[in-house]
Amino acid sequence: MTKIILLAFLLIITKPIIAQEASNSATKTDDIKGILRQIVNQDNPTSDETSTSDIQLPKAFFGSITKINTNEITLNFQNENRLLRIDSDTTYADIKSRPTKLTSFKEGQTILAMGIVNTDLSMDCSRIVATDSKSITNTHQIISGQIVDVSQSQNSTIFVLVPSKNKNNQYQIKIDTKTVLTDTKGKNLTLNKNIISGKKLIAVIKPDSQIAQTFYAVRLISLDSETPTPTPKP
Amino acid sequence: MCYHLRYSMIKELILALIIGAILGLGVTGSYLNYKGKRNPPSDKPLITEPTLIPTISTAPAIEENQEETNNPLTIISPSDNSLVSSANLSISGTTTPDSQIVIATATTVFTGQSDTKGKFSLPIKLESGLNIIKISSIDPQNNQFDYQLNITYSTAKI
Repeated sequence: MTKIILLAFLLIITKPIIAQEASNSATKTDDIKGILRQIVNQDNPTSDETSTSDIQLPKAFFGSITKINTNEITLNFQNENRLLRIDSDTTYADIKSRPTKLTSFKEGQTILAMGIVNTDLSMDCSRIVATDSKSITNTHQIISGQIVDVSQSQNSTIFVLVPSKNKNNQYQIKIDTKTVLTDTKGKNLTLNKNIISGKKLIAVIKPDSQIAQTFYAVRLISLDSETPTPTPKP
Repeated sequence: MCYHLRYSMIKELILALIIGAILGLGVTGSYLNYKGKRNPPSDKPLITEPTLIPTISTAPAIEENQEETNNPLTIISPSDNSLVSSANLSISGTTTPDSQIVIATATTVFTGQSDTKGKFSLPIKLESGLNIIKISSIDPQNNQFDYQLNITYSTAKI
């Protein structure tokens, strides 16, 4: 009788303990699997980002040489140092695009480096061209504004444009027969009739070579044609 | 007789103790089992959350992008400092709807308009070497947004 009672007692006590251990071990296994999945996922996104970026596409960097040796050039590019890797396949050209050698390049010289960008942002250079920084400027300025004054002379017309971006500023702009004026659709307009005070336009200008502090208008686009015509009220 | 009585009492006492113990342990075991089912083991991962947070290096990039979003004029193609092997190139991007687009290279001016969704694509022609390309969009309210691209045109084998 006592033995039967003891056996029943043991069965009651051990059952929940076995169930508890089984569920714990299953949870732990799941936890470990989850951790492994997280570690794997943590490693993979970097490779995805690399594939979508500009890395491995042909690029060109313009800047000045800060350090040079037989294997590498350090280039100051947009206020950052970029490492250019060079090898026996790299070709070199002087300022007149004639073939030259690495030894002709010096620190402080401005160059245009072409090649493929690596994942560490260094560049495997295929071609290095000596470049004059003065030759690669774009002096054009695009200004949107309103004409506030117009003065006519024998050969040209000069008008004053106040930019919409900064109304405290003024541009003295010269136009001549070569200046092209169009509406927003690209239709040519007559210069004399349309350059008047109060007119809103976009001016593509560059510094005038003859008159100081004056710009020459290469292209003008009249914005006033876009103003909707008011419909008469009944 | 007295001996028999004492033996019987001891036997009953032991039996009562065993039954009491069985009942007590049974109730305790049932309670613990019930408690275990109500509060299952927590699903907390063994590695705590902070180790899975992205590295700090990505945070400044987000700030930079947020700053750039102030300018609605964005260029989708080509990317800055691209090297292309053809002089004919199409500049595509997005800006405010129905805006005038002006693209100025060092020698030529190209114009166009963005559509009602703000999308635009303008064909331009490049000069040999490095081209500094200035792009402006002017919306119907005369707000101007500017962008600059450096694109190199070279036929040299890369």
